[in-house]
Amino acid sequence: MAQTAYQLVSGQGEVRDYFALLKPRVMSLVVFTGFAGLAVAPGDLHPVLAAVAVLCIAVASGAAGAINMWYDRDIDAVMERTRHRPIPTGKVEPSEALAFGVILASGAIMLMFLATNAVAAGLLAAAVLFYVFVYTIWLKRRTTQNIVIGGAAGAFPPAIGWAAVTGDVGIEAAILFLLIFFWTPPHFWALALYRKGDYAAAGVPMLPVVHGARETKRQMLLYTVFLVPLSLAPCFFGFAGWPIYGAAAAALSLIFLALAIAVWRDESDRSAKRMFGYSIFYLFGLFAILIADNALMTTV
Amino acid sequence: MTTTTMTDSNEKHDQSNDMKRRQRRKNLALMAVLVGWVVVLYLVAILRMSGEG
Repeated sequence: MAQTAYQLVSGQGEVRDYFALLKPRVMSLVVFTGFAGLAVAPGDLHPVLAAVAVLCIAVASGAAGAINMWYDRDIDAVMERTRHRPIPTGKVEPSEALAFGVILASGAIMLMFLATNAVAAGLLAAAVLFYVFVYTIWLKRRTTQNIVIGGAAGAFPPAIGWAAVTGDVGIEAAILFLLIFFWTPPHFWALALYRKGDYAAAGVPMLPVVHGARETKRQMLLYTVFLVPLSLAPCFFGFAGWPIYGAAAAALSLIFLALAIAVWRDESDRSAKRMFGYSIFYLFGLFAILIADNALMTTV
Repeated sequence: MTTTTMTDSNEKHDQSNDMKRRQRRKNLALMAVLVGWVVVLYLVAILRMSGEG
């Protein structure tokens, strides 16, 4: 009977279900930061090849998301936020999702190599492998530092974009990497603070579940304090100007810091929700201003 | 033939048509992806060979 019911619901995926496997919302942030790395890097890359490089970053990111959904299908079915994903709802078979992810990732890495260079393709492969093996399979269910170390996977895209143009990874690419790396813990823990029941039910040892809200808020504040001077590093290293990027980054970062302080003081979840929403805007804003500043510096 | 069996038969027919429509959409999407893949490879090859990269 169970077998019949499963057969009735499985394999009925629409095209949009396969698209949902790619985690399009996460992908948008990855694509944008990857594009920023490409846009601010010194040197020339044909616009078509640049577009292909961005496409490769997008597809590889989506593919990593699909493999993550394949591996996490058991906990996704338990958590309220993820229970409507295509695998827990039976719209896509787990094996289909895995094959979909592996094929897309392989194709994206190969195309990146053909369109740009081995460094960019190698970094793209490293990002996918890190996300799947280090974050998803190794760290996520084992340590409270899962999203701190695993967050490195999401920090790769600007370095990949930079490498696509220059064929190298310089200090500038490392700064863009560090920006996302230090942004990730306050971003994810803000979400984990008001979704900790979900994570606890699934047995994922997120920091608020294991060490409580107070310790999480303290660590969020520490990372945010460190992020403020780091956001100004592009000015110190000369690949962004003070009047536009410097001023805007300072303002955006101080608001982020104010929100982290509000979360630290607030006993309810309201500030954490606000901080999570703002953290997405913050990263988009920071990289958008970096691109605009660089475009203005180039034209002047 | 009873009303119940006729309804069952209609439901099965609708389900089968729905599955076919869904499969057709997936086939078309896959075809679009494959054609896109070929076009991108072609463009990349032309640009790289002409030294634009």
